[in-house]
Amino acid sequence: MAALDQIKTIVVVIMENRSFDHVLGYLSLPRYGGRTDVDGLINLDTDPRFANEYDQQIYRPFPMADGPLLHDLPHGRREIAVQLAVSGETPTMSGFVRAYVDASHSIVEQPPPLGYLTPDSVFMSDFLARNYLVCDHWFAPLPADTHPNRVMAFTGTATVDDTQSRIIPHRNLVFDWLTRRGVRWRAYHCGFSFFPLFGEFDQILGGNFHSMRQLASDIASDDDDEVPQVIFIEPEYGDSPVHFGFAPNDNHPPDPIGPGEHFLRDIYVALSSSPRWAQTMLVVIHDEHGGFFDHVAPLPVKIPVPVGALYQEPFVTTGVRVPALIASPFVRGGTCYRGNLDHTSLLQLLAEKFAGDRRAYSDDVNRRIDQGIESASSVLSPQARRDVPTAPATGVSVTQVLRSTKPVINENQKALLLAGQKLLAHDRLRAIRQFPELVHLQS
Amino acid sequence: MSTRLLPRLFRALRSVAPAVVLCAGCASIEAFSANPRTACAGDAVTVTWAAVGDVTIGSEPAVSDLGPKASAGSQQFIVERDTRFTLKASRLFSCKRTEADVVVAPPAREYGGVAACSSAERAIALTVPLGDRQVSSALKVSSVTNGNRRPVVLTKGGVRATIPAGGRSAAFDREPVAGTWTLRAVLAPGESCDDALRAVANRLTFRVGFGCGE
Repeated sequence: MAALDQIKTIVVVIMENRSFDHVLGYLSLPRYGGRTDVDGLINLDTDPRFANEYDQQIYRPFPMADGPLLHDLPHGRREIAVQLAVSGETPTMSGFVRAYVDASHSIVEQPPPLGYLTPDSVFMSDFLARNYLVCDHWFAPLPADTHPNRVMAFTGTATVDDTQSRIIPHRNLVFDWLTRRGVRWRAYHCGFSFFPLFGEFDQILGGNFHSMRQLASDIASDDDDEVPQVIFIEPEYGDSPVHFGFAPNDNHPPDPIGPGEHFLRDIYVALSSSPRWAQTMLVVIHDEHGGFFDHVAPLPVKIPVPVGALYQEPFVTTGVRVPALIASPFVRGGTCYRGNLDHTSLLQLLAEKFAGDRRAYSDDVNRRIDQGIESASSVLSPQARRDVPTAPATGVSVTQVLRSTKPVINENQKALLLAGQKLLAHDRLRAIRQFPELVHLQS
Repeated sequence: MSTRLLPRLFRALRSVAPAVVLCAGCASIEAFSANPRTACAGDAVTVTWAAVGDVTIGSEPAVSDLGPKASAGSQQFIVERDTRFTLKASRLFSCKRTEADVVVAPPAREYGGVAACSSAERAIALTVPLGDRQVSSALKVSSVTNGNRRPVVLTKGGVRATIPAGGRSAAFDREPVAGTWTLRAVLAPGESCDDALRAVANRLTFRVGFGCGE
């Protein structure tokens, strides 16, 4: 039986705003094991691919301790164009410092976009990389920020090219696709969810959305005929208008990555301690690079502007590489998959698993298949392994900053606030039952 | 207006039009720099800023005459060692902060950028102007290293040197670092511009060792 046939539950976790080199690039550095199978950081002082220029001066990647940053990093469509620094038709990936200085007016010897983390800071990602599988050519689908890339992940179509305060127009939402095929799915959220931004409020309040606090008990108590076949797990977004019991753990700068690493550990422990782990595939990715440096140029993937899109200029490449880790008995330990993947690889995977054909999701996804984007099923190994590596003890102290309440300042914060208000207006009682933190938006 | 009414008014306005109300009271930073970014001890560094809000200029370590300033301006400070200048802009609803480093007499720095290739001249070339934004006029060259994967011809003023890949040249020693540097790497026989640029990741760089004073 093929590996995909034996997998009963696919679990998807999408974190925020980190690049591959920033989180996992250290894997190829000699002092951290020098993995030659991973396309990460190497010869940082001399390799021209790592040289970033600002005002004639060259800056190179440096080890960065985890902690809050002074600024969020620029990662909108226009800023990414600066980061890619296309020369002729070649993205040189040399403009990350320039984009940062343009946005922050901060010119420091060690510009944060070039900081890379080390195993001390990313203990859980390091554990997953060493014991399971790294995808070192998983790209954000679009050179744009959060909303466009999450829309691609959940619909396969780019209806927006920026993050604005609005309900996002969409078609082929993954939940609708799964429901039409009778696939059991569930979404777990720490605090307020991203999905209300799609405006499908009855779907949000319809019983498929559970608190993250229920994950472990659900896994332990679900009967075989009610176990979800697809699970989406959402972190606590730093941009959420209110936080109610969870601190931000989505990895979005300027917040540190430590809370997100603990969040991943919680998920892995809950899943891997269940007998159902033998039939589970856990996929952990980041929605986009968040302004952090990566040395690999985006893939040339051209997509026409879809009907109803809120922009005019078509995308001609993917976004920047993001950290991607896959844990399952059906991946070999300590390996790396080099094939070209992006978030629509997950939609291919679902189509392959639940419709028997990876081209069965949508024409938009097929357009990416035709340009070389593979299904996430490509990573699977036919032989199931029997060992279940034990997650590291939580010996890492997490830098947790208590922040004063700040006004709504960025578009994603405004968008989540808008979605919360609309959800309350739609069905206040059920909305508060599902997302208790929304009670704070009442006044 | 009484201070008790302010929060109620703010909440009421926020529920109607959060973005409009909040942006009106937010600080922002439009510009900040401290030049030259590489200096010698005792050099005067020009700090320039423009912001919306109450501005405070600080530094670590502290230099003289820091503190509250006009919302836009420029001022010189004397630096004796590596110094991080900070700008804080505060307003009713937010506070912004940014930083600019000045490094005093570092051992070396790498300069360069994205290069262009000419098929007609069969060479990759890059011009690197270093002025008072980048380097102090007191900085002198102590060595030049070619970190590229191929030989380059490096020119500055009347001095010209061919430096092998990874090699070092003393031809520019004691010359001012400031000025216009030109790098040129000749294509190999039969090599295309695309191949040549790919081989150097589209970049040419050189490393300058520094000295201050005589």
